[in-house]
Amino acid sequence: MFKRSALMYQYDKTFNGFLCCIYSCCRLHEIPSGFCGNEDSLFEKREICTNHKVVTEMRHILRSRLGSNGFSLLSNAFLYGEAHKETDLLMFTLFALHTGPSAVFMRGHPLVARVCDMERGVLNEAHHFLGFIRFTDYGYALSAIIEPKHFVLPKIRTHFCDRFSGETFLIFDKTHKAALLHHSNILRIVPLDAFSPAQPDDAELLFRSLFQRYHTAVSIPERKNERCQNTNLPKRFRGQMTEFSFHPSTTSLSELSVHLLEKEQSS
Amino acid sequence: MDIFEKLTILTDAAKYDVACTSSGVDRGGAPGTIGNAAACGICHSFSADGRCISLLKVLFTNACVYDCKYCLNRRSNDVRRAAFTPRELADLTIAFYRRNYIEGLFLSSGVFKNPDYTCEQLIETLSILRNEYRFRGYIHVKAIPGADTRLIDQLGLLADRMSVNIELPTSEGLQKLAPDKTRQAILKPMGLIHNRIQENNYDLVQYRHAPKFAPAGHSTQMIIGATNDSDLHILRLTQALYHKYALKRVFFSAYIPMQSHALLPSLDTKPPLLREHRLYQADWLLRFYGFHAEEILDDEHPDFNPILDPKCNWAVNHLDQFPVEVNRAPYEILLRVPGIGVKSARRIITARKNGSLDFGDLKRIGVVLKRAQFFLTCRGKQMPHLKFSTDTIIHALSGQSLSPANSDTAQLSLFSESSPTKEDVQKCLSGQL
Repeated sequence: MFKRSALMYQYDKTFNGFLCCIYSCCRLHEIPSGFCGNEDSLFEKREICTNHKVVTEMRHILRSRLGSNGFSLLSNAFLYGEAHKETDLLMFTLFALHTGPSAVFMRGHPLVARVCDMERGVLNEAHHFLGFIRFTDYGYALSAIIEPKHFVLPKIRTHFCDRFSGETFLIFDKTHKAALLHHSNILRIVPLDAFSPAQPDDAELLFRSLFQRYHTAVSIPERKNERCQNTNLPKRFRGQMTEFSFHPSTTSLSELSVHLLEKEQSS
Repeated sequence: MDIFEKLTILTDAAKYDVACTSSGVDRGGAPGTIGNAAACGICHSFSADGRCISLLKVLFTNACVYDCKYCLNRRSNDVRRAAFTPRELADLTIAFYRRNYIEGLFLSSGVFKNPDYTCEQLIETLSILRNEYRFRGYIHVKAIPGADTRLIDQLGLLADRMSVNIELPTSEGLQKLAPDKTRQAILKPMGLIHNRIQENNYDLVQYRHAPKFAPAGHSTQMIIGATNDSDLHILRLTQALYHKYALKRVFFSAYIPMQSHALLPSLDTKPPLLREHRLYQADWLLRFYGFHAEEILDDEHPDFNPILDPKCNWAVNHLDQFPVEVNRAPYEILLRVPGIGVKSARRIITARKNGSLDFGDLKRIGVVLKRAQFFLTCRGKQMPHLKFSTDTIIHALSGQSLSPANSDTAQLSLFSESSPTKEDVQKCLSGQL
């Protein structure tokens, strides 16, 4: 029987750290009042250290007890960008450990439904970003900035590494202060406090302008439907999208294209 | 003419093509190449009209030898003409793709010089992309009716999806508005592509690395509202196209009047957007919900109900088949309940294996009960406090508020339906009633 504790669990905010928290809950038969990272708090805290041995053991137990579907549900839902997600995830895990692999399919159960909703939020946003990310081309590398609600980098990395397998690129997650780095088959997600991209060159400005022109030209004025556009492409995504946020400078676009053509011919 | 002007003119000319999905083929990347394709398709942006921008949708050229009355690019129309070179278009596609602006290329063209020459230009563009840039992204190309079969074959080996526009729902309409085109000339390449896809399926069984011919299948589109065809006729044609040519999609494009002509609707006619929407809804019912065209519309009702969507309309006319029990109804029946789609039906089937469901469970699963509540029972009981009558159903399904005059849920009254008379009021006050 688990008892409610007044303590908060302090951990490193990683999935492995959270697995150690679950381990601690099961060992001490307690449910903490909440979870926190390194931030200051007036609550009494229990510090949970991430232990590699415990992590391996917990992964093995959860995979066998929750099934592969259950484990992937838990790991995906952990990427949900809400401050108090851990308590919901912990309650679901305890329920699933008790029930077995069938717990994942009991979607009518409030605990399972909540975690399924969290996973759906993460996967939907990750799918949006497959299309809505805009890269800046510096010739030798590509870079992009995103501002997602949830931590979607682990869910989009396979897609972009597969798509641009020969490219060097960086995707900076401004919300979670992390970056996905890819260079000749080496892939890392690293913490990064800030990233200020270099000034785009002439070719980049040209293609930005061209795409903006294309975006305007392809819509049919007689069918204008702002509501539909807002539903499909919420405004929170538009901050980093070329077609909505790029404003060409006073230099005439035609001059720019002529200049580039001349440069290309001379080279 | 610089690239800006070309892009503007040729995008403007291509924007009325509606087949712009990037779905149907799953192809991973490979070392030394650029790009991949996802079967579900990926939307990269949405234009001001709310439509998805997935592919770089342009015409190779808007110069055309045909004189179709409904078309902006017809030879008798005085518009600016432009043409890309194959290299220009391939470079532009790769530059956009590297920046993740697009999922691939949608290439159509007016017929300049002759169909074979046009087709050769398209092949050259795709060859540069596929062989030089080693592009593995999505390519949708229009087959040019009248082109040599060997050229169509080459085009199909380079593209993921091909399409031939059927243009108008009837051959009479085609004869009237596009005198240079015939139904046979359009259906011939469609049949050719279909046969080639079938052959390719056999080839792939025998030789795993055989080149793939249009792996994402083929599609078509037709203009709605330029001629006087009934919805039933369009739906029957759609169904026949799916069966006969195994099309992946049939697209509908609401006719937007842009030129004045005695044979066309007047310029002040609004595009039939609701009709187009209803046709897409019915198209989904044909493809994913197991409906037949004759179930959705019949000779007595050849056009869609403007208030109710086709599925709700069918359900309201077949109330004898409802309500269905959520915990026992088979998947095919659940799909016929308004408000329950493919995802919800699958979730219900999965969830009910682990215990019977009630309305609270359905809400948590993600089933939207606004419409479904009238057609479902959970554990033999209907939704609590449900006001069930044909009027309330129709008003709830159409999303309109129920006016008190038409409502069945009016305040109970001791008096007859007409307003109480003076005598009634006196009786009521004196306690005789």
